[in-house]
Amino acid sequence: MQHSEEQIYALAPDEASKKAGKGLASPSKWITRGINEQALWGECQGSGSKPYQTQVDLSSIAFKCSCPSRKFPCKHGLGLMLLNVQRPDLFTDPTVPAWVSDWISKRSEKEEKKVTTSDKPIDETAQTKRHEARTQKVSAGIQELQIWIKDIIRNGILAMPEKEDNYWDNMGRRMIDAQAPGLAAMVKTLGETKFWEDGWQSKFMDNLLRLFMVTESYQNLELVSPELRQDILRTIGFTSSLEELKTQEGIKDTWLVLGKETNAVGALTKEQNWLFGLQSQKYALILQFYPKGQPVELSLIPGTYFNAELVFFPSAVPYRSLIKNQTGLTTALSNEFNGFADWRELAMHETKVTGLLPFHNDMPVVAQHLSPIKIQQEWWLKDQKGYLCKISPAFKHLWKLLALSGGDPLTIAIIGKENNYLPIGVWHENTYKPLS
Amino acid sequence: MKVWDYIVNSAMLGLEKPASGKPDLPEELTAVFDLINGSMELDRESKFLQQASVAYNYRKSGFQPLQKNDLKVFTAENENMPYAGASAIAALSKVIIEDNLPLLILWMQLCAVNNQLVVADLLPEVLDKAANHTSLRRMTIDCSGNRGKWLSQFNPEWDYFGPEQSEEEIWLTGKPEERVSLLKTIRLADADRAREMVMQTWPQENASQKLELLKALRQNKQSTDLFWLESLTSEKGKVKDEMQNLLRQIPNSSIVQKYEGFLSEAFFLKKEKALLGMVTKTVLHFKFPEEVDQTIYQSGIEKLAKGNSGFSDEEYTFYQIIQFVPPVFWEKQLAVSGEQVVEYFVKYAEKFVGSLALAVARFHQKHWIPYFLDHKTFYPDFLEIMIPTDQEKYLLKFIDSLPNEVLQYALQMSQEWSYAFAAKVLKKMSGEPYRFTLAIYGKKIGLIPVEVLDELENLGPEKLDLIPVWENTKDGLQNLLILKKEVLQAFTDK
Repeated sequence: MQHSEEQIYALAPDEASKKAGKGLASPSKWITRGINEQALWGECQGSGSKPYQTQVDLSSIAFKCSCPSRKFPCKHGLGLMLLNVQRPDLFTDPTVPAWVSDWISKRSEKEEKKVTTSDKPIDETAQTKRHEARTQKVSAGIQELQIWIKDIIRNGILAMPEKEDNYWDNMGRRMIDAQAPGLAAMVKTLGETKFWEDGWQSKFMDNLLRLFMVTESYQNLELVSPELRQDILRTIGFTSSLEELKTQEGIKDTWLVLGKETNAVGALTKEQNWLFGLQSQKYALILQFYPKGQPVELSLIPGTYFNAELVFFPSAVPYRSLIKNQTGLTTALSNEFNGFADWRELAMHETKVTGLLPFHNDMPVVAQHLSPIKIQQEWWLKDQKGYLCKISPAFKHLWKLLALSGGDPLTIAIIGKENNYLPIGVWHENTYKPLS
Repeated sequence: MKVWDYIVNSAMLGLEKPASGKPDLPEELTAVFDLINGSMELDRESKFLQQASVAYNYRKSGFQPLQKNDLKVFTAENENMPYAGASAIAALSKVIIEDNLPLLILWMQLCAVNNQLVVADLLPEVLDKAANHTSLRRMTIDCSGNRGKWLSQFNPEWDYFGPEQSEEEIWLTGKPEERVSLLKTIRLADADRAREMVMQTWPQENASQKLELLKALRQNKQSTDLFWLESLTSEKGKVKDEMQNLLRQIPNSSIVQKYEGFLSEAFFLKKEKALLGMVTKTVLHFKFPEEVDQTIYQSGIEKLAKGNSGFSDEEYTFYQIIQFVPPVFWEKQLAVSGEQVVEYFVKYAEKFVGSLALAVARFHQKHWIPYFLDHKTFYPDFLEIMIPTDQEKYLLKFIDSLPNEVLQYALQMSQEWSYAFAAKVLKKMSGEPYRFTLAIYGKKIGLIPVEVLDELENLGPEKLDLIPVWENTKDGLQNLLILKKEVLQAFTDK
């Protein structure tokens, strides 16, 4: 199964890379070109004396190039993929050069190593000591954080817009010192409140209370279910053993990539990939963090389907997951999607999820029969029973949504809560079309 | 006060200050709030934060979407034309990413001619392009169907769809550029009607609009325009200049007649003896008249040659006037054929041959052009009245002697070049890769036939150091031509 040009362009880190990649999708740029089931490769004559060696792992869409670019994928990776789509007849050489086989085998070894490392004996005493030390640090950090939260409430949040950056940064750093990076991120989010927008007070309180709930929950861990306990620990920043997770049985399904979002988090790039299982009807989040300018381990392209076994992190609402096995891209077996029938049904679902996990982040959902409608100067989505929810003002692809709808109801993948939803894709003429 | 509003208000003021009222606690929350309030272990802030957390989850869990059954969703009407095929849509996607206007225009022309529509996915991008490029608007309206019309009502930048306006409405209430565009269209089809429209509104027009309207009348000029144009004696400045410019291009105008009168006094044929009186020959003489109607100099004719070196003041007056006199005048004045007129000018008044050529172009005397084709001088004005094949032939005559001029005019042509012409022009262009960059090829891709794809390998500069620059340009040009080919094939492959 080959990617479309649109999907390849969706991988580009920016507009300049798109254009540069397009320019390199020319046969004359590539001295060698080859492809087999596992990889796509080519040598591109750049400005240097030696040609750049560009390769793509086709099984999980990963790139490697010998060029000095800090962008991933670089223009050569994009150009090579585009050329392969435009002129597959030029990729006739199946003989894998050493530089490609080396990389592919290293990637396989790395995967195997991840599994085998779990076989190593664990020094349980040392592990327990480390855990206790961390628990103490986190507890102390949480106490400090609660005092800080109470100060805010005591003095009133009206003073928040005037706070300097270091007010937030200092507490964020204190949480890092306390080995609670999850809490540090939540503090940072508080500081990033758009204080110039109407209604900031309510949004600020939402985030402050989520932070408070996590800190309170941590102090009552023994009272909650094991699954919720895991959610609390993970939200604070305790990591789960990925190797251990991979030993568990997952859900084998055809997964549709509903959408993705990347944000800069300090020196890292945070990438959220939202998936939907066609048979299991489950939503999943593949979260990746990688240093800026470093290759991403896995490139998922919105609108594509892939067969994979996903293991979900233990949670009161299983959602975050990792890919245990992936067998490549596929096409949809069926274009029937059973999303929520109307806004009330979705609100009931939201209530259920909130009951299970009160501080959960926004999750994607698929809802049916939604028509865009303009009321005064705002756009809403109207269901078949006449219920309405607002389209988020942050939504950047309104015109595409309207063009696809023409006012008629659509099945839409959305992310948000209560009265504010961001569309991330629609089913149009039996095809899922990402709105990105 | 709703409980969540109470929480936010209290948080805004801070707990040090008295609360601004009491919450209307829902029944489900009363017991929980009481339980928290009754705790002896919790301080004031903890109590508030716990109650607020409960209220937050209560709000989220109890969210009720707004219901309005009386809202009618207006939908786009069904289309009555088919959508463009998959290969055409794939080509359009690439053209949009390429951001190439000529290829977009080509795609839209083909789509419109084939009575097909742009698919919904790409409509916003196409509507945006047409918002920025007026030349695309008519085609965009034709190719967007009912979906495009429906969509355009929501975005003020796409107001060019607008309601259908009658010609009269546009003329009386339209934007200046819409009025000028309408006038030009009408002028081509019915010159007198166009002039009458201008005459009707002339007193109400301001100076800049008057100027634009007169410019629109430059095409399809008629002798019937004379009466009105010659009545505009009170106009001043640029409007007056444009009025005079128009009059000088209408053969029967009084000013052209004055020019003819001036030239008829100055130019004449005379028989002279040659070769020691053994033969006679006819010579074209010209002599500046002793008395000159000074109104000639008020009609835009410069009296002094100034920087026009090579001309005396008198010669310069001749040069200017000749170009505003229809060539047929010379046939009558000298009582010879047009071909002979040109021969006499070449032999005895060579300085004015260029001016005569200008008159040929200005008064659309196409049949005179062959009389100039043996000349070494390049008369670019002829191109305006030539058909494309003749333009190419004419330009090729000068491609080696005047490559810069030829390339300049070749790139201004409006029809796609023939293969043979393109091969020669591109050969020249490829020799100067720093001057003719990929951006220029991109802007002019409409002129370049896709057949030259096979010719690209034979192009390029002779200087070795320029070859890498050309190679880059060539790759880009090749991509553009492949894309153009895809666009063309997309609408021919059924």
